[in-house]
Amino acid sequence: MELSETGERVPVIELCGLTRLYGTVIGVNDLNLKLDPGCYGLVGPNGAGKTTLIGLLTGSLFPSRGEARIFGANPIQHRSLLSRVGVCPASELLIPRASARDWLVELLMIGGYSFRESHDMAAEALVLTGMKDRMDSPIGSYSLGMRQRVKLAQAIAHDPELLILDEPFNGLDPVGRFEMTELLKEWSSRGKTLILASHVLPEVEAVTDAFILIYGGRLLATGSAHELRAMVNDLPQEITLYGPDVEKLAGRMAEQPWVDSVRLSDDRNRLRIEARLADQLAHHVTCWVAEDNLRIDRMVGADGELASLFEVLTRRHRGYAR
Amino acid sequence: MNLWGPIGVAWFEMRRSFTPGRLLLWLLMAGFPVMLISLVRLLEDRQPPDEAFTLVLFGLIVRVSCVMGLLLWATPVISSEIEGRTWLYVVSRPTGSRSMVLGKFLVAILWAISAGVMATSVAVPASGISEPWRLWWVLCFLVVLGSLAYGAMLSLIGALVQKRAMVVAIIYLVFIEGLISIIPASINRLTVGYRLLGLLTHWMGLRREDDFRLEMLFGTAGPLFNVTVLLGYTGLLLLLAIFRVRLGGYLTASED
Repeated sequence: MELSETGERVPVIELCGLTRLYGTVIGVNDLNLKLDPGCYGLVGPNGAGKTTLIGLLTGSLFPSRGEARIFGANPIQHRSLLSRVGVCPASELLIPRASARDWLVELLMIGGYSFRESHDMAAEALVLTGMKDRMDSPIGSYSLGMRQRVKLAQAIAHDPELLILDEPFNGLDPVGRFEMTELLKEWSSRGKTLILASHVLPEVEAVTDAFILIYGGRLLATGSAHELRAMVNDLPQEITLYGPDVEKLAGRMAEQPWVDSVRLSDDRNRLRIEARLADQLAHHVTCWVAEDNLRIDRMVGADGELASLFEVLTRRHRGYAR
Repeated sequence: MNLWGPIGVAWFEMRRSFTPGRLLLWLLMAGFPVMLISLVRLLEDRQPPDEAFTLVLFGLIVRVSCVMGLLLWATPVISSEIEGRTWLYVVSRPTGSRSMVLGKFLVAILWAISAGVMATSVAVPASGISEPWRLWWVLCFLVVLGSLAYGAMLSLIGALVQKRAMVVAIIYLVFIEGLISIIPASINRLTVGYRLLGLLTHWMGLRREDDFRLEMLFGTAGPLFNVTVLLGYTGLLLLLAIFRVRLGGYLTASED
Protein backbone atom coordinates (compact mmCIF):
# COMPACT_ATOMS: atom_id res chain seq x y z
CA MET A 1 0.00 0.00 0.00
CA GLU A 2 1.31 3.42 -0.91
CA LEU A 3 1.45 6.36 1.46
CA SER A 4 1.27 10.01 0.48
CA GLU A 5 3.85 12.60 1.57
CA THR A 6 1.69 13.33 4.60
CA GLY A 7 1.65 9.64 5.54
CA GLU A 8 -1.92 9.07 4.44
CA ARG A 9 -2.89 5.94 2.62
CA VAL A 10 -3.14 6.51 -1.13
CA PRO A 11 -6.18 4.83 -2.70
CA VAL A 12 -5.49 2.64 -5.71
CA ILE A 13 -8.34 4.36 -7.52
CA GLU A 14 -9.85 7.73 -6.75
CA LEU A 15 -12.64 9.38 -8.70
CA CYS A 16 -13.41 13.03 -8.03
CA GLY A 17 -16.57 14.29 -9.74
CA LEU A 18 -15.62 12.27 -12.79
CA THR A 19 -17.85 13.05 -15.75
CA ARG A 20 -17.57 12.10 -19.38
CA LEU A 21 -20.00 13.32 -22.02
CA TYR A 22 -20.25 12.20 -25.63
CA GLY A 23 -21.85 15.31 -27.05
CA THR A 24 -25.16 15.43 -25.21
CA VAL A 25 -25.00 11.76 -24.20
CA ILE A 26 -23.77 11.00 -20.70
CA GLY A 27 -21.07 8.36 -20.47
CA VAL A 28 -20.47 8.67 -16.73
CA ASN A 29 -21.78 11.41 -14.49
CA ASP A 30 -20.20 12.88 -11.37
CA LEU A 31 -18.57 9.73 -10.03
CA ASN A 32 -16.92 10.02 -6.61
CA LEU A 33 -15.17 6.99 -5.20
CA LYS A 34 -12.05 5.80 -3.37
CA LEU A 35 -10.87 2.21 -3.61
CA ASP A 36 -8.18 0.56 -1.53
CA PRO A 37 -6.36 -2.55 -2.78
CA GLY A 38 -8.76 -5.43 -3.23
CA CYS A 39 -11.01 -7.21 -5.63
CA TYR A 40 -14.10 -5.35 -6.87
CA GLY A 41 -16.93 -6.19 -9.19
CA LEU A 42 -17.96 -3.27 -11.38
CA VAL A 43 -21.52 -4.26 -12.12
CA GLY A 44 -24.09 -2.64 -14.35
CA PRO A 45 -26.26 -3.42 -17.34
CA ASN A 46 -25.02 -2.87 -20.88
CA GLY A 47 -24.65 0.84 -21.52
CA ALA A 48 -24.26 1.66 -17.83
CA GLY A 49 -20.90 3.35 -18.37
CA LYS A 50 -18.51 0.58 -17.33
CA THR A 51 -16.36 0.75 -20.43
CA THR A 52 -16.29 4.54 -20.34
CA LEU A 53 -15.13 4.42 -16.73
CA ILE A 54 -12.39 1.96 -17.67
CA GLY A 55 -11.32 4.22 -20.53
CA LEU A 56 -11.09 7.15 -18.11
CA LEU A 57 -9.11 5.11 -15.59
CA THR A 58 -6.60 4.06 -18.21
CA GLY A 59 -6.19 7.50 -19.72
CA SER A 60 -7.54 6.47 -23.11
CA LEU A 61 -10.50 8.82 -22.61
CA PHE A 62 -10.32 12.36 -21.30
CA PRO A 63 -12.90 13.40 -18.70
CA SER A 64 -15.29 16.23 -19.54
CA ARG A 65 -15.18 17.25 -15.87
CA GLY A 66 -13.53 15.95 -12.72
CA GLU A 67 -10.57 13.66 -12.44
CA ALA A 68 -9.65 9.99 -12.22
CA ARG A 69 -6.56 9.06 -10.23
CA ILE A 70 -4.75 5.76 -10.04
CA PHE A 71 -2.03 5.24 -7.44
CA GLY A 72 -2.51 8.85 -6.41
CA ALA A 73 -1.94 10.52 -9.76
CA ASN A 74 -3.78 11.37 -12.94
CA PRO A 75 -2.99 8.74 -15.63
CA ILE A 76 -3.37 11.31 -18.40
CA GLN A 77 -0.61 13.48 -16.97
CA HIS A 78 1.48 10.59 -15.65
CA ARG A 79 1.43 8.02 -18.41
CA SER A 80 4.16 5.94 -16.75
CA LEU A 81 1.56 4.87 -14.17
CA LEU A 82 -0.02 2.73 -16.86
CA SER A 83 2.92 0.33 -16.64
CA ARG A 84 1.41 -0.72 -13.28
CA VAL A 85 -1.98 -1.40 -14.84
CA GLY A 86 -3.20 -4.32 -16.92
CA VAL A 87 -6.29 -3.78 -19.02
CA CYS A 88 -8.44 -6.30 -20.83
CA PRO A 89 -11.04 -4.41 -22.92
CA ALA A 90 -14.30 -6.06 -23.88
CA SER A 91 -13.85 -5.54 -27.61
CA GLU A 92 -13.23 -8.54 -29.80
CA LEU A 93 -9.82 -8.99 -31.42
CA LEU A 94 -9.82 -8.71 -35.22
CA ILE A 95 -6.21 -9.45 -36.11
CA PRO A 96 -6.67 -12.92 -37.61
CA ARG A 97 -3.23 -13.40 -39.18
CA ALA A 98 -1.11 -12.56 -36.15
CA SER A 99 -0.23 -15.16 -33.54
CA ALA A 100 -1.01 -14.62 -29.87
CA ARG A 101 2.65 -14.70 -28.92
CA ASP A 102 3.63 -12.10 -31.55
CA TRP A 103 0.84 -9.80 -30.44
CA LEU A 104 1.81 -10.05 -26.79
CA VAL A 105 5.47 -9.45 -27.66
CA GLU A 106 4.46 -6.26 -29.48
CA LEU A 107 2.39 -5.02 -26.54
CA LEU A 108 5.12 -5.84 -24.02
CA MET A 109 7.72 -4.02 -26.12
CA ILE A 110 5.38 -1.03 -26.25
CA GLY A 111 5.44 -1.31 -22.46
CA GLY A 112 9.22 -0.86 -22.54
CA TYR A 113 10.47 -4.44 -22.27
CA SER A 114 13.27 -5.70 -24.52
CA PHE A 115 12.58 -8.18 -27.28
CA ARG A 116 13.96 -11.13 -25.31
CA GLU A 117 12.17 -10.18 -22.10
CA SER A 118 8.94 -9.71 -24.02
CA HIS A 119 9.23 -13.15 -25.61
CA ASP A 120 9.71 -14.85 -22.24
CA MET A 121 6.97 -12.87 -20.50
CA ALA A 122 4.51 -13.44 -23.34
CA ALA A 123 5.10 -17.19 -23.30
CA GLU A 124 4.75 -17.30 -19.51
CA ALA A 125 1.43 -15.43 -19.54
CA LEU A 126 0.04 -17.56 -22.35
CA VAL A 127 1.00 -20.75 -20.52
CA LEU A 128 -0.71 -19.39 -17.40
CA THR A 129 -3.94 -18.78 -19.30
CA GLY A 130 -3.92 -22.22 -20.89
CA MET A 131 -2.69 -21.24 -24.34
CA LYS A 132 0.59 -23.16 -24.26
CA ASP A 133 -0.12 -25.35 -27.28
CA ARG A 134 -1.69 -22.72 -29.51
CA MET A 135 0.31 -19.58 -28.77
CA ASP A 136 2.01 -19.60 -32.19
CA SER A 137 -1.13 -20.28 -34.21
CA PRO A 138 -2.93 -17.39 -35.95
CA ILE A 139 -5.52 -15.69 -33.74
CA GLY A 140 -8.05 -16.17 -36.54
CA SER A 141 -8.00 -19.92 -35.86
CA TYR A 142 -8.91 -19.50 -32.16
CA SER A 143 -12.29 -20.05 -30.59
CA LEU A 144 -13.96 -17.14 -28.79
CA GLY A 145 -12.88 -18.58 -25.46
CA MET A 146 -9.27 -18.83 -26.59
CA ARG A 147 -9.30 -15.23 -27.71
CA GLN A 148 -10.59 -14.25 -24.27
CA ARG A 149 -7.64 -16.08 -22.72
CA VAL A 150 -5.25 -14.27 -25.02
CA LYS A 151 -6.78 -10.95 -24.01
CA LEU A 152 -6.36 -11.86 -20.37
CA ALA A 153 -2.78 -12.97 -21.01
CA GLN A 154 -1.83 -9.58 -22.45
CA ALA A 155 -3.31 -7.90 -19.39
CA ILE A 156 -1.36 -9.95 -16.84
CA ALA A 157 1.85 -10.52 -18.80
CA HIS A 158 3.68 -7.63 -17.15
CA ASP A 159 2.42 -8.58 -13.67
CA PRO A 160 0.48 -5.36 -13.02
CA GLU A 161 -0.60 -4.12 -9.61
CA LEU A 162 -4.02 -3.12 -10.89
CA LEU A 163 -5.87 -5.41 -13.26
CA ILE A 164 -8.99 -4.11 -15.02
CA LEU A 165 -11.05 -6.66 -16.91
CA ASP A 166 -14.06 -5.71 -18.99
CA GLU A 167 -16.47 -8.62 -19.47
CA PRO A 168 -13.74 -11.29 -19.27
CA PHE A 169 -16.21 -14.18 -19.18
CA ASN A 170 -17.73 -13.39 -22.57
CA GLY A 171 -17.64 -16.42 -24.83
CA LEU A 172 -16.21 -18.81 -22.26
CA ASP A 173 -17.76 -22.26 -21.85
CA PRO A 174 -18.54 -23.50 -18.30
CA VAL A 175 -15.11 -25.06 -17.92
CA GLY A 176 -13.50 -21.90 -19.18
CA ARG A 177 -15.56 -19.80 -16.77
CA PHE A 178 -14.51 -21.96 -13.89
CA GLU A 179 -10.84 -21.77 -14.89
CA MET A 180 -11.08 -18.01 -15.35
CA THR A 181 -12.74 -17.63 -11.95
CA GLU A 182 -10.02 -19.67 -10.26
CA LEU A 183 -7.32 -17.72 -12.05
CA LEU A 184 -8.79 -14.39 -10.97
CA LYS A 185 -9.26 -15.55 -7.38
CA GLU A 186 -5.66 -16.70 -7.25
CA TRP A 187 -4.51 -13.44 -8.81
CA SER A 188 -6.41 -11.24 -6.36
CA SER A 189 -5.29 -13.37 -3.40
CA ARG A 190 -1.78 -12.03 -4.01
CA GLY A 191 -2.83 -8.67 -2.58
CA LYS A 192 -3.27 -6.95 -5.91
CA THR A 193 -6.23 -4.97 -7.07
CA LEU A 194 -8.75 -6.37 -9.50
CA ILE A 195 -11.63 -4.50 -11.11
CA LEU A 196 -13.93 -6.97 -12.79
CA ALA A 197 -16.56 -5.31 -14.97
CA SER A 198 -19.53 -7.40 -15.95
CA HIS A 199 -23.26 -7.22 -16.50
CA VAL A 200 -23.71 -10.78 -15.21
CA LEU A 201 -23.89 -10.79 -11.42
CA PRO A 202 -23.20 -14.46 -10.68
CA GLU A 203 -19.92 -14.25 -12.60
CA VAL A 204 -18.77 -11.41 -10.39
CA GLU A 205 -20.09 -12.97 -7.20
CA ALA A 206 -18.00 -16.05 -7.90
CA VAL A 207 -14.84 -13.95 -7.72
CA THR A 208 -15.52 -11.20 -5.20
CA ASP A 209 -17.88 -9.96 -2.52
CA ALA A 210 -17.21 -6.26 -3.08
CA PHE A 211 -19.30 -4.45 -5.62
CA ILE A 212 -19.47 -1.14 -7.40
CA LEU A 213 -22.91 -0.79 -8.91
CA ILE A 214 -23.23 1.58 -11.83
CA TYR A 215 -26.26 2.50 -13.86
CA GLY A 216 -26.93 5.25 -16.39
CA GLY A 217 -23.44 6.61 -15.81
CA ARG A 218 -24.15 7.13 -12.11
CA LEU A 219 -22.74 5.27 -9.16
CA LEU A 220 -25.65 3.47 -7.48
CA ALA A 221 -23.82 1.94 -4.52
CA THR A 222 -20.58 0.39 -3.34
CA GLY A 223 -19.82 -2.19 -0.70
CA SER A 224 -20.10 -5.87 0.06
CA ALA A 225 -23.25 -7.80 -0.71
CA HIS A 226 -24.07 -7.68 3.02
CA GLU A 227 -23.64 -3.91 3.19
CA LEU A 228 -25.73 -3.44 0.09
CA ARG A 229 -28.52 -5.58 1.52
CA ALA A 230 -28.51 -3.50 4.68
CA MET A 231 -28.59 -0.36 2.58
CA VAL A 232 -31.71 -1.38 0.70
CA ASN A 233 -33.48 -3.15 3.56
CA ASP A 234 -35.90 -0.28 4.13
CA LEU A 235 -36.54 0.18 0.44
CA PRO A 236 -39.48 -1.54 -1.23
CA GLN A 237 -38.46 -4.92 -2.53
CA GLU A 238 -40.43 -7.38 -4.49
CA ILE A 239 -40.81 -11.09 -3.93
CA THR A 240 -42.95 -13.58 -5.74
CA LEU A 241 -44.37 -16.70 -4.12
CA TYR A 242 -45.49 -19.70 -6.15
CA GLY A 243 -47.74 -22.52 -4.95
CA PRO A 244 -51.37 -23.62 -4.51
CA ASP A 245 -51.73 -21.88 -1.09
CA VAL A 246 -50.38 -18.44 -1.90
CA GLU A 247 -53.92 -17.02 -1.85
CA LYS A 248 -54.14 -17.77 1.89
CA LEU A 249 -51.08 -15.61 2.50
CA ALA A 250 -52.47 -12.63 0.63
CA GLY A 251 -54.83 -11.62 3.45
CA ARG A 252 -52.13 -11.74 6.11
CA MET A 253 -49.79 -9.76 3.93
CA ALA A 254 -52.30 -7.00 3.29
CA GLU A 255 -52.58 -6.36 7.04
CA GLN A 256 -48.89 -5.63 7.52
CA PRO A 257 -47.87 -1.95 7.67
CA TRP A 258 -44.57 -2.61 5.88
CA VAL A 259 -46.26 -4.19 2.84
CA ASP A 260 -46.90 -1.72 0.03
CA SER A 261 -48.81 -3.91 -2.41
CA VAL A 262 -50.07 -7.44 -2.89
CA ARG A 263 -51.00 -8.88 -6.27
CA LEU A 264 -52.49 -12.30 -6.88
CA SER A 265 -52.35 -13.82 -10.36
CA ASP A 266 -55.50 -14.87 -12.18
CA ASP A 267 -54.74 -18.55 -11.72
CA ARG A 268 -54.26 -17.82 -7.97
CA ASN A 269 -51.00 -19.66 -8.03
CA ARG A 270 -48.63 -16.69 -7.91
CA LEU A 271 -48.49 -13.91 -5.32
CA ARG A 272 -46.38 -10.83 -5.91
CA ILE A 273 -45.60 -8.73 -2.83
CA GLU A 274 -43.88 -5.37 -2.64
CA ALA A 275 -42.67 -4.56 0.84
CA ARG A 276 -40.13 -2.61 2.85
CA LEU A 277 -38.01 -4.34 5.51
CA ALA A 278 -37.17 -7.32 3.37
CA ASP A 279 -35.68 -9.27 6.27
CA GLN A 280 -39.01 -9.11 8.15
CA LEU A 281 -40.88 -10.11 5.04
CA ALA A 282 -38.82 -13.27 4.62
CA HIS A 283 -39.10 -14.06 8.33
CA HIS A 284 -42.88 -13.64 8.45
CA VAL A 285 -43.51 -15.60 5.30
CA THR A 286 -41.54 -18.51 6.73
CA CYS A 287 -43.48 -18.37 10.04
CA TRP A 288 -46.93 -18.17 8.42
CA VAL A 289 -46.19 -21.00 6.08
CA ALA A 290 -45.18 -23.18 9.04
CA GLU A 291 -48.09 -22.09 11.31
CA ASP A 292 -50.83 -22.62 8.72
CA ASN A 293 -49.14 -25.59 7.12
CA LEU A 294 -49.29 -23.96 3.69
CA ARG A 295 -47.86 -25.37 0.55
CA ILE A 296 -45.54 -22.84 -1.09
CA ASP A 297 -43.38 -24.26 -3.88
CA ARG A 298 -41.03 -21.44 -4.55
CA MET A 299 -40.07 -17.94 -3.36
CA VAL A 300 -38.17 -15.68 -5.75
CA GLY A 301 -36.88 -12.17 -5.21
CA ALA A 302 -35.84 -10.22 -2.18
CA ASP A 303 -34.28 -13.06 -0.30
CA GLY A 304 -30.91 -11.43 -0.25
CA GLU A 305 -30.02 -12.18 -3.84
CA LEU A 306 -27.71 -9.57 -5.24
CA ALA A 307 -29.78 -9.44 -8.41
CA SER A 308 -32.76 -8.15 -6.52
CA LEU A 309 -30.63 -5.65 -4.61
CA PHE A 310 -29.43 -4.34 -7.90
CA GLU A 311 -32.97 -4.16 -9.19
CA VAL A 312 -34.07 -2.17 -6.15
CA LEU A 313 -31.17 0.24 -6.43
CA THR A 314 -31.86 0.71 -10.08
CA ARG A 315 -35.51 1.41 -9.39
CA ARG A 316 -34.54 3.90 -6.72
CA HIS A 317 -32.19 5.58 -9.15
CA ARG A 318 -34.98 5.82 -11.70
CA GLY A 319 -37.22 7.37 -9.07
CA TYR A 320 -39.69 4.47 -8.92
CA ALA A 321 -38.97 3.73 -5.28
CA ARG A 322 -38.71 5.94 -2.27
CA MET B 1 12.54 7.21 -23.83
CA ASN B 2 11.22 3.78 -24.75
CA LEU B 3 12.92 2.73 -27.98
CA TRP B 4 11.59 -0.81 -27.76
CA GLY B 5 8.03 0.39 -28.38
CA PRO B 6 8.41 1.55 -32.01
CA ILE B 7 10.70 -1.42 -32.70
CA GLY B 8 8.10 -3.79 -31.29
CA VAL B 9 5.33 -2.26 -33.41
CA ALA B 10 7.54 -2.34 -36.52
CA TRP B 11 8.55 -5.96 -35.85
CA PHE B 12 4.94 -7.04 -35.38
CA GLU B 13 3.71 -5.13 -38.43
CA MET B 14 6.50 -6.50 -40.63
CA ARG B 15 5.78 -10.06 -39.52
CA ARG B 16 2.13 -9.86 -40.30
CA SER B 17 2.54 -7.83 -43.49
CA PHE B 18 4.28 -10.57 -45.46
CA THR B 19 1.10 -11.70 -47.16
CA PRO B 20 0.62 -12.59 -50.84
CA GLY B 21 -1.53 -9.50 -51.30
CA ARG B 22 1.01 -7.13 -49.81
CA LEU B 23 3.89 -8.71 -51.77
CA LEU B 24 1.89 -8.45 -54.99
CA LEU B 25 1.26 -4.80 -54.28
CA TRP B 26 4.94 -4.23 -53.61
CA LEU B 27 5.79 -5.91 -56.94
CA LEU B 28 3.26 -3.68 -58.67
CA MET B 29 4.78 -0.56 -57.12
CA ALA B 30 8.29 -1.64 -58.06
CA GLY B 31 7.36 -2.97 -61.49
CA PHE B 32 5.06 -0.21 -62.68
CA PRO B 33 7.83 2.34 -63.56
CA VAL B 34 9.92 -0.40 -65.17
CA MET B 35 7.02 -1.46 -67.37
CA LEU B 36 6.33 2.09 -68.52
CA ILE B 37 9.98 2.84 -69.27
CA SER B 38 10.36 -0.43 -71.15
CA LEU B 39 7.19 0.36 -73.10
CA VAL B 40 8.48 3.83 -74.05
CA ARG B 41 11.76 2.39 -75.29
CA LEU B 42 9.96 -0.29 -77.21
CA LEU B 43 7.56 2.06 -78.95
CA GLU B 44 9.90 5.03 -79.54
CA ASP B 45 12.28 4.73 -82.49
CA ARG B 46 14.65 7.35 -81.11
CA GLN B 47 16.13 7.37 -77.61
CA PRO B 48 14.41 10.24 -75.74
CA PRO B 49 16.76 12.89 -74.30
CA ASP B 50 18.33 12.13 -70.91
CA GLU B 51 16.61 15.11 -69.30
CA ALA B 52 13.18 13.84 -70.29
CA PHE B 53 13.90 10.33 -69.04
CA THR B 54 15.31 11.68 -65.80
CA LEU B 55 12.16 13.66 -65.09
CA VAL B 56 9.89 10.78 -66.12
CA LEU B 57 11.76 8.34 -63.89
CA PHE B 58 11.67 10.79 -61.00
CA GLY B 59 7.93 11.28 -61.46
CA LEU B 60 7.14 7.59 -61.83
CA ILE B 61 9.32 6.28 -59.02
CA VAL B 62 9.37 9.01 -56.38
CA ARG B 63 6.11 10.86 -57.01
CA VAL B 64 3.91 7.93 -58.01
CA SER B 65 5.28 4.56 -56.99
CA CYS B 66 6.56 5.48 -53.50
CA VAL B 67 3.66 7.79 -52.77
CA MET B 68 1.12 5.12 -53.75
CA GLY B 69 2.81 2.66 -51.40
CA LEU B 70 2.88 5.18 -48.58
CA LEU B 71 -0.74 6.05 -49.21
CA LEU B 72 -1.66 2.43 -48.60
CA TRP B 73 0.75 1.74 -45.75
CA ALA B 74 1.17 4.97 -43.80
CA THR B 75 -2.29 6.51 -43.96
CA PRO B 76 -4.23 3.83 -42.00
CA VAL B 77 -2.03 4.35 -38.93
CA ILE B 78 -5.01 4.72 -36.59
CA SER B 79 -7.95 3.40 -38.59
CA SER B 80 -6.39 -0.06 -38.96
CA GLU B 81 -5.91 -0.32 -35.19
CA ILE B 82 -9.48 0.77 -34.53
CA GLU B 83 -10.82 -1.63 -37.15
CA GLY B 84 -8.71 -4.45 -35.68
CA ARG B 85 -10.05 -3.51 -32.21
CA THR B 86 -6.49 -3.31 -30.90
CA TRP B 87 -6.48 0.44 -30.28
CA LEU B 88 -7.57 0.23 -26.64
CA TYR B 89 -4.78 -2.24 -25.88
CA VAL B 90 -2.23 0.14 -27.33
CA VAL B 91 -3.34 3.38 -25.69
CA SER B 92 -3.58 1.80 -22.26
CA ARG B 93 0.21 1.49 -22.27
CA PRO B 94 2.56 4.30 -21.27
CA THR B 95 4.08 5.04 -24.69
CA GLY B 96 1.48 3.23 -26.76
CA SER B 97 0.35 6.02 -29.06
CA ARG B 98 3.88 7.26 -29.78
CA SER B 99 5.14 3.74 -30.43
CA MET B 100 2.25 3.04 -32.76
CA VAL B 101 2.82 6.15 -34.91
CA LEU B 102 6.59 5.69 -35.13
CA GLY B 103 6.48 1.91 -35.59
CA LYS B 104 3.92 2.05 -38.37
CA PHE B 105 5.74 4.94 -40.04
CA LEU B 106 8.93 2.87 -39.99
CA VAL B 107 7.22 -0.09 -41.65
CA ALA B 108 5.53 2.11 -44.26
CA ILE B 109 8.76 3.79 -45.32
CA LEU B 110 10.64 0.48 -45.38
CA TRP B 111 8.09 -0.96 -47.81
CA ALA B 112 8.04 2.22 -49.91
CA ILE B 113 11.82 2.67 -49.96
CA SER B 114 12.44 -0.96 -50.87
CA ALA B 115 9.92 -0.72 -53.74
CA GLY B 116 11.43 2.59 -54.87
CA VAL B 117 15.02 1.35 -54.77
CA MET B 118 14.05 -1.84 -56.60
CA ALA B 119 12.21 0.17 -59.27
CA THR B 120 15.20 2.52 -59.64
CA SER B 121 17.66 -0.37 -59.85
CA VAL B 122 15.79 -1.97 -62.75
CA ALA B 123 14.30 1.08 -64.51
CA VAL B 124 17.46 3.20 -64.68
CA PRO B 125 19.53 0.57 -66.58
CA ALA B 126 16.47 -0.19 -68.72
CA SER B 127 16.17 3.48 -69.68
CA GLY B 128 19.48 3.51 -71.54
CA ILE B 129 20.40 6.87 -70.03
CA SER B 130 23.98 8.05 -70.45
CA GLU B 131 24.87 8.43 -66.74
CA PRO B 132 22.99 5.57 -65.08
CA TRP B 133 25.02 5.45 -61.85
CA ARG B 134 24.55 9.13 -61.18
CA LEU B 135 20.82 8.93 -61.79
CA TRP B 136 20.61 5.75 -59.69
CA TRP B 137 22.08 7.26 -56.54
CA VAL B 138 20.19 10.52 -56.98
CA LEU B 139 16.87 8.73 -57.38
CA CYS B 140 17.63 6.36 -54.48
CA PHE B 141 18.40 9.34 -52.26
CA LEU B 142 15.22 11.08 -53.36
CA VAL B 143 13.24 7.87 -52.75
CA VAL B 144 14.49 7.89 -49.16
CA LEU B 145 13.86 11.60 -48.59
CA GLY B 146 10.51 11.53 -50.36
CA SER B 147 9.36 8.47 -48.43
CA LEU B 148 10.28 10.12 -45.14
CA ALA B 149 8.48 13.38 -45.87
CA TYR B 150 5.44 11.95 -47.65
CA GLY B 151 5.21 9.14 -45.08
CA ALA B 152 5.17 11.63 -42.22
CA MET B 153 2.55 13.76 -43.96
CA LEU B 154 0.30 10.77 -44.65
CA SER B 155 0.76 9.53 -41.07
CA LEU B 156 -0.37 12.94 -39.86
CA ILE B 157 -3.43 12.80 -42.11
CA GLY B 158 -4.15 9.30 -40.77
CA ALA B 159 -3.88 10.62 -37.22
CA LEU B 160 -6.04 13.67 -37.91
CA VAL B 161 -8.80 11.97 -39.85
CA GLN B 162 -10.17 8.77 -38.38
CA LYS B 163 -12.71 8.01 -41.09
CA ARG B 164 -11.98 8.43 -44.79
CA ALA B 165 -8.32 9.23 -44.12
CA MET B 166 -7.47 7.70 -47.48
CA VAL B 167 -9.82 10.07 -49.31
CA VAL B 168 -8.34 13.10 -47.57
CA ALA B 169 -4.83 11.81 -48.32
CA ILE B 170 -5.65 11.42 -52.02
CA ILE B 171 -7.10 14.93 -52.11
CA TYR B 172 -3.91 16.23 -50.48
CA LEU B 173 -1.69 14.36 -52.92
CA VAL B 174 -3.63 15.41 -56.01
CA PHE B 175 -4.29 19.04 -55.16
CA ILE B 176 -1.37 20.05 -52.97
CA GLU B 177 1.46 17.83 -54.12
CA GLY B 178 0.13 17.36 -57.65
CA LEU B 179 -1.16 20.78 -58.63
CA ILE B 180 0.18 23.38 -56.23
CA SER B 181 3.73 22.03 -56.38
CA ILE B 182 3.89 22.83 -60.10
CA ILE B 183 2.29 26.26 -59.83
CA PRO B 184 5.04 28.80 -60.40
CA ALA B 185 4.28 30.81 -57.26
CA SER B 186 5.66 31.08 -53.75
CA ILE B 187 3.05 28.70 -52.37
CA ASN B 188 4.65 25.75 -54.10
CA ARG B 189 7.67 26.10 -51.80
CA LEU B 190 5.59 24.56 -49.04
CA THR B 191 5.25 21.27 -50.87
CA VAL B 192 7.49 18.23 -50.63
CA GLY B 193 7.52 17.89 -54.41
CA TYR B 194 9.10 21.33 -54.85
CA ARG B 195 12.04 20.40 -52.60
CA LEU B 196 12.51 17.02 -54.25
CA LEU B 197 12.49 18.56 -57.72
CA GLY B 198 15.00 21.15 -56.53
CA LEU B 199 17.34 18.40 -55.40
CA LEU B 200 16.91 16.41 -58.61
CA THR B 201 17.63 19.35 -60.87
CA HIS B 202 20.65 20.31 -58.79
CA TRP B 203 22.24 16.89 -58.57
CA MET B 204 21.47 15.96 -62.17
CA GLY B 205 22.61 19.34 -63.51
CA LEU B 206 19.25 20.16 -65.08
CA ARG B 207 19.14 23.79 -64.00
CA ARG B 208 19.18 26.63 -66.47
CA GLU B 209 20.52 29.70 -64.70
CA ASP B 210 18.83 32.05 -67.18
CA ASP B 211 15.36 30.48 -67.10
CA PHE B 212 13.28 32.30 -64.50
CA ARG B 213 10.12 30.26 -65.19
CA LEU B 214 11.82 26.95 -64.45
CA GLU B 215 13.39 28.46 -61.35
CA MET B 216 9.90 29.06 -60.01
CA LEU B 217 9.28 25.31 -60.14
CA PHE B 218 12.24 24.19 -58.08
CA GLY B 219 13.88 27.32 -56.70
CA THR B 220 17.52 28.24 -56.33
CA ALA B 221 18.12 26.79 -52.88
CA GLY B 222 21.11 24.53 -52.43
CA PRO B 223 20.78 20.81 -51.75
CA LEU B 224 21.72 21.14 -48.07
CA PHE B 225 18.87 23.56 -47.51
CA ASN B 226 16.36 21.38 -49.31
CA VAL B 227 17.48 18.23 -47.48
CA THR B 228 17.25 20.06 -44.16
CA VAL B 229 13.75 21.30 -44.98
CA LEU B 230 12.60 17.79 -45.93
CA LEU B 231 14.05 16.24 -42.77
CA GLY B 232 12.55 19.09 -40.78
CA TYR B 233 9.17 18.43 -42.37
CA THR B 234 9.45 14.78 -41.44
CA GLY B 235 10.25 15.49 -37.81
CA LEU B 236 7.64 18.20 -37.43
CA LEU B 237 4.86 16.23 -39.10
CA LEU B 238 5.62 13.13 -37.03
CA LEU B 239 5.60 15.19 -33.85
CA LEU B 240 2.23 16.63 -34.80
CA ALA B 241 0.91 13.14 -35.56
CA ILE B 242 2.10 11.85 -32.18
CA PHE B 243 0.59 14.85 -30.44
CA ARG B 244 -2.74 14.31 -32.18
CA VAL B 245 -2.80 10.60 -31.40
CA ARG B 246 -1.88 11.32 -27.80
CA LEU B 247 -4.94 13.57 -27.52
CA GLY B 248 -7.09 10.54 -28.37
CA GLY B 249 -10.83 10.94 -28.69
CA TYR B 250 -11.14 8.44 -31.53
CA LEU B 251 -14.44 6.66 -31.72
CA THR B 252 -14.25 2.98 -30.93
CA ALA B 253 -17.11 0.50 -31.07
CA SER B 254 -16.94 -0.60 -27.46
CA GLU B 255 -17.66 2.56 -25.49
CA ASP B 256 -20.79 2.16 -23.41
